[in-house]
Formats: sequence, structure tokens, C-alpha cells
Amino acid sequence: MSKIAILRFVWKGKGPLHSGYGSDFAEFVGDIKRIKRKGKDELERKSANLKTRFHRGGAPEATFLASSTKGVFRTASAWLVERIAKREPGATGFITCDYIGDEAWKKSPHPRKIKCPVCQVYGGSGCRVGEGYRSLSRVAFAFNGEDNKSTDAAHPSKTVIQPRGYFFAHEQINDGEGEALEEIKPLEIEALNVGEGPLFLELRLDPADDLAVALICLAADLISSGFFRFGRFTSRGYGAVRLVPYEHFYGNLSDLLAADDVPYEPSGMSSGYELARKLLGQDPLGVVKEAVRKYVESEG
Amino acid sequence: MAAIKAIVEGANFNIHCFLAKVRTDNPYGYLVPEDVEKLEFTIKGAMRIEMNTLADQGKYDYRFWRRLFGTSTGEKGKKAKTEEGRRRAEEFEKQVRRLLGKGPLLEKGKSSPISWKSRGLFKAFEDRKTVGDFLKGCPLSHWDGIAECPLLAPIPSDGPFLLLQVHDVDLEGGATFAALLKEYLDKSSELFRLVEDRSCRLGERDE
Repeated sequence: MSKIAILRFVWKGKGPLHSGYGSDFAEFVGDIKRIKRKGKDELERKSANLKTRFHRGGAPEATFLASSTKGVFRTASAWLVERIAKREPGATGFITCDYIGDEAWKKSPHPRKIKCPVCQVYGGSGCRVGEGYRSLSRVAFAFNGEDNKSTDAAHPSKTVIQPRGYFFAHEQINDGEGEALEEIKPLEIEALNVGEGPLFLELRLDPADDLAVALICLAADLISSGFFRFGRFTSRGYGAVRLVPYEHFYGNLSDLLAADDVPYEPSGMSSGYELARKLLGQDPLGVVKEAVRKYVESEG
Repeated sequence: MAAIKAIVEGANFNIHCFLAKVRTDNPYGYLVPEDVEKLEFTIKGAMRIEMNTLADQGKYDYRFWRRLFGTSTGEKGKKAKTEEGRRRAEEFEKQVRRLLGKGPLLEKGKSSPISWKSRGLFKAFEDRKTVGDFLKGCPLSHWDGIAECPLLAPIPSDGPFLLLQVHDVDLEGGATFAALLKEYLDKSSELFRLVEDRSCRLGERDE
């Protein structure tokens, strides 16, 4: 019987977070207004957060969605798989859907019999096993520790909203061509400090085969290092998060059903690498390497 | 997908960390913000300006900063009031043409032309303690079987510090952007002084 896993990481913000979206859409929903300035029509210097309702009938509140974290995990995983593939003898070019792109897939003769390692874990539409074949994601994400467990969002009950105002460097360095700094309004960003209290990111893997456990845990480390980040303004210190293994369930569905509550075990590890090594009883990097090798060799 | 092609073109899948001290003697008239969060928000732009300045002075390799820090468009250059700005925009478009071939640069459904996403994190710290706390928690050292990030060892004095984490890219002629950044931080920059740099091994062992 295949195993399932529920991995809970403590989400520790290492900088502000901004879940905002593009100015066109923000203007459309009324979060950013068009103003007249010096006779010109322009948008407010503001970046708006994504907002959702926390309680039925309540006002929309600034939000960060756990479901949006899946993309960051996938990006980090695809990067790691490509790094390993680049060093694998016999690999020619990229091997994941994430790096190859739709056009290349269409031209591809679909020579492989298995899905790419990233689609095996996160799902995908197409991959090289043929058009029309859609694999299901086997990973679910949720924030835990919120008052309302029916939503996957981290809301202001666990976040601190801190309005910020920034000038860009080219505005600070006045070369005589731009406006004087005192004439410019700073760019307004409502920063979210998610996880001031204990906030958990919960990942459910079903089935939790070795590749899924290894890739998810290693991706968590790549995120914790700061190389992969969440939200907007990610190169400017925003969205850096540290994910520390907290507790986990790793077993059969029957074990889970037999218990009154999820029988979590304390993870007792400070990295995803160590957690995966403990769960799998082997080097998780070796597990990913083996999956890459198998995929490269499957080229027909 | 064209944008993604551009983003991944040249990626060598190495990651590199640079720790540099931020100089506070206001080079280029850049007033270093006292608030560390404001510093990390603006320092990327200050580095871009300095690299453009260096490229204009004949150090042409620095024109590749877009490969690392991203750009939304060459449009700003086209609208520039200076000849130099327009020249840079033309150079940018040539690079896009080289990567993506002929055809319209505007992607369907997008309001702006091709963009390269930034592959760097600019993280600022007010002193050696805060930078040490951040580096101590990095779990990637566990992949190599070591307890702490080697960057921790040589933090010499009080800051402010900049931690620059980059996804490295190959440049023409076999050079890498990480090597170029090291030279920039170590020798060319008036904004920074390099303290230390490391490439993460990510579990790779010497053969």
C-alpha cells in the first residue's frame, strides 16, 4: 500500500511579504486609482495586496494564499531537477515541462513513456507522455493556525500590515533630469508580516512516494535559503521565508483513519534535507538523481 | 513562453552568495537609507546605475546586468532623453532578437514586451549579528554535511551589509555572471566592498 504524508513546516517570515498583483488589474478592481498630476493622467504610486473575505459578509482583507505557494515549490523543484539533469551523462538540454515550454512540447515527438520528474509530483497538462493526458497533482498546501480552517489563506489575524513608502535609487540620485525627491510621492506598499504568531504551512502528499517526499523537502530548503521567494518585489528583500520542519505524519491511510486525530510525530530536524533523510532512510538528493537518470534513460 | 526561454537561456544552475559591506560615503549622491528595509529596496537600483555607469566608461561586460537583475523592457531606454539611453535600448533589442529570433516582441495578451525576471535577492543587514543570524539558519549547509554556512566565518566589522544571492548565468566567452559580480564588488564598485563569496555546493562531492 502506498504511503501518504502530511508535513508541517513552521513559516517564519524573514522579511515583509506582498501578495499584490499587476497595476492593470488593481485599477480594474478599484485598489489603485488614476489621478491627475501636473496635468498628466497617471496611476497612484501604490501596489495593492490581494484581498479576500475571511468571514462571510465581511470586508475583503489583505491575504496571502497557501495555494499560491505551490508554484514556488514547483519552481524550486524544477530548478533542482534541471541542475541535476545538467550534470547527468546522456541528458541533452532541459528535461522538465517548466523549462521546455509549450511550443517545444508541441514539436516534440513525445518519445518518453513516463512523466517528467516535476510533473510526477506536482501534476501537469501534457508533458511528454502525450497530449490529452493530464496527471493529477499529489500535493496540497494549506496554512494552519488560522481561526477559519475552511480557507487556505493567511489573513490579517496572523499578519501585521505595515504600510511602507519607498523611493527608487534613480529617484534618490538626482542627476538634474528627473524630478526633485520632495516633489515625488513614495511608492506605497502594504507589507504583510505573515507568521508573527505560530503559522504552519501544511503539505499533504498522496501518494507520498520517495521522489515526492525528497523533492518537496529539498524545495523547502531552497526556499528557506532565500533563493526562491514568495509574492512581489522578491529581489528587494520581500518574500524571504524560512520553513522549519515541525511535525509530520508518514504512514498508511489505515493508520490515519484509525486515529482520532492526525498522529503527528515531532520532526526534530532543522532542514528539509534531514527530514527527508529520516523519512526515506536514504539521501534525498540520491532519490532525485535516480528519478532524473530513469527519465533520461527513458528517451526512446 | 518566449519570456521563459529568455529567462532560462544561459542558466548554469549554480547559486552563489556574496557578502559585501555597503559604503556609506554617498557615492553618486546615493544617500544610503538608515532603515535597512528601505536600503534593501533601493540598493538594486543603485547597483544597476553603477553598472550602467561602468559600461559607459568602457567596461562593457557590465552591460549584461539585465541577465541577472531582470528588466521589464527596453522601452525606458527608447524614451530616454540621452543618446546613451537609446544606444542601450538598441543593444537590448539586439540581444532579444538574438535570443528569440524574428517576429513581434510583444507577446499576445501582454501589455509589455518581453521581460527577464530577476534572479537575485538583495538582502540588507544593519550589522554583523543580524547577517550572522540569517546565515546560521540556512539549511543548504546540511546538504553538504556541514553545520553552518561558510560565509559566516569572515564577517569583519559592522555594517550595513548586503547579502546578494544569485542564480548564476553563463556569459559569452565562457565567463559567468558570478565571476563578473565578484570583480565588480571587489574592484570596480564605489558602492560596495566585498567581504566574502561562496558558491553553494548543494551536496556535490569532489570526484
